[in-house]
Amino acid sequence: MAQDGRLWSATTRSLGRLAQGYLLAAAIGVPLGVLTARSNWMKVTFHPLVLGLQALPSICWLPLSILWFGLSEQAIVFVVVMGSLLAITISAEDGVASVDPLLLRASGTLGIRGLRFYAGVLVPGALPGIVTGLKLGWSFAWRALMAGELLFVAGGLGQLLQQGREVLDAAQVMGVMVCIVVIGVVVDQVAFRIVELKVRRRWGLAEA
Amino acid sequence: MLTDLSRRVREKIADRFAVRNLLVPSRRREGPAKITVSQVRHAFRNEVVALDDVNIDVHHGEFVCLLGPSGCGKSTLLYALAGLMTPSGGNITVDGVTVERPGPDRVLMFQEPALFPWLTVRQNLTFVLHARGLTRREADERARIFIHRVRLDGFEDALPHQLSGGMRQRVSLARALALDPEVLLMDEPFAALDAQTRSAMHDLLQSIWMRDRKTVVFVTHNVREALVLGDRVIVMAGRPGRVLQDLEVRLVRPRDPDDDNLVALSRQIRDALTRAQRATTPMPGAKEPHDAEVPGPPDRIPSRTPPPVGAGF
Repeated sequence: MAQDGRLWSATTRSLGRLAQGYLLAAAIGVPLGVLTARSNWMKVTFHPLVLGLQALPSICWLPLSILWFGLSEQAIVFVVVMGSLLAITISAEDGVASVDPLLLRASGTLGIRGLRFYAGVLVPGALPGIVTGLKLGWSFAWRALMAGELLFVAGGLGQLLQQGREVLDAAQVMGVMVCIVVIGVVVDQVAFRIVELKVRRRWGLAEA
Repeated sequence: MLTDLSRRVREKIADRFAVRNLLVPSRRREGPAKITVSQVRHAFRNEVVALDDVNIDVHHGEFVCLLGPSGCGKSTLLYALAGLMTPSGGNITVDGVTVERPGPDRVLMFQEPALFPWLTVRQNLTFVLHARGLTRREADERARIFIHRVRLDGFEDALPHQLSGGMRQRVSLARALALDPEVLLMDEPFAALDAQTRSAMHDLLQSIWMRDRKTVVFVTHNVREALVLGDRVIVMAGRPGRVLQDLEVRLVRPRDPDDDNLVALSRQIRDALTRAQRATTPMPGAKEPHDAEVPGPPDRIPSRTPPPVGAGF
């Protein structure tokens, strides 16, 4: 499996989808979370919606996604986005809400407003929370992708797993499972851990 | 022997008068005031009257200390000056313009340094300077000057959490001064520091102030601090918050907190405060005030209402 290149091509295919969906979710989720925290109107209308939808397992978006996008690449990316978007939004919102109110008052009196306030004070202030959200979002995205690929044949690691079952090849099934675990652990424990630690150190939240 | 005694008596009387003359009710000054506080009153939602008919004029280049026990409304008044809260009545103007929202012409320094924790010392200064429209080069140069002025050369690239409390407050001071505000508002900025650091900060602030002569409004509950720093000491009393005395301090600068005259003056003010408190409180506190702290019942109204988060922007 690894020799004939099927594993490799399936992995790149899965990771490509994941990257698309995840980056899209981050690009929408972080600003959405910041805005929800800052505007009362958004807090009233959007916050309950986000919390409610979070109760929905992400794979439940698949039928709707297939209806909207057909059996296409977009359908599975949509599931990935919906899987991680809400977690990222909620964490970004919490991050902004936990920024020291003193810093907000100080920014006002120091004359920092508008875009500079959002980009220079609010987002950096909320960054420890945002990074935690991104990490959580990543693991949700990874789960959503695998579930999606298992159910709907379109190449990728999930499909490889399903194929293993169909040809009664337990070795292939286990091999792919290990592969999924390794990717998950490497990204979660290595990439995110380094970023998180760096942020926490810089922010003075953890010992250097 | 008799002549000796009479000389000593005369000296004592002269001393008394000398002390008297060092602290006089401040006179009305000519010319337009920099800051005008007129008929300001403020009641909190729980109907505690924080300020009741407060009228103060501050002139350009004056160092004014607002002194009083906690709950006398001094911090509320300062927050109103900064534009972080709107008093329920009256009017506050700076240079003739009514204060409505916070702005960099009236920089407020808090009891905590309020530095951006993810920025280095230098970046904390340049960030706010960029916000005021300075170019990168101008901001760097200005940051260098003011970091030097608070004697933090060599710490430009340190992060706030790597500095001591006093150093952080110095960065905060440098940041406020670098903005070159019309008015500098200070809310007990040294209250959280230990006595030695605080007195070093007083020296530093005095020397910086003697050079720039900025208009400063400084809130404190420490009588000696007020006397060391202020040209004018406005003594306030609580319940309802009001101005008790408006005094002009005529001690030569730089001032020493252990100077005999200063100590005598601080006793005078403390006595006045205790009398005022007795007059308003039905059950006078039997406890004697210690140190140079203003006597104030601890179970009173909180001294400051933080304005709603992010008020004003």
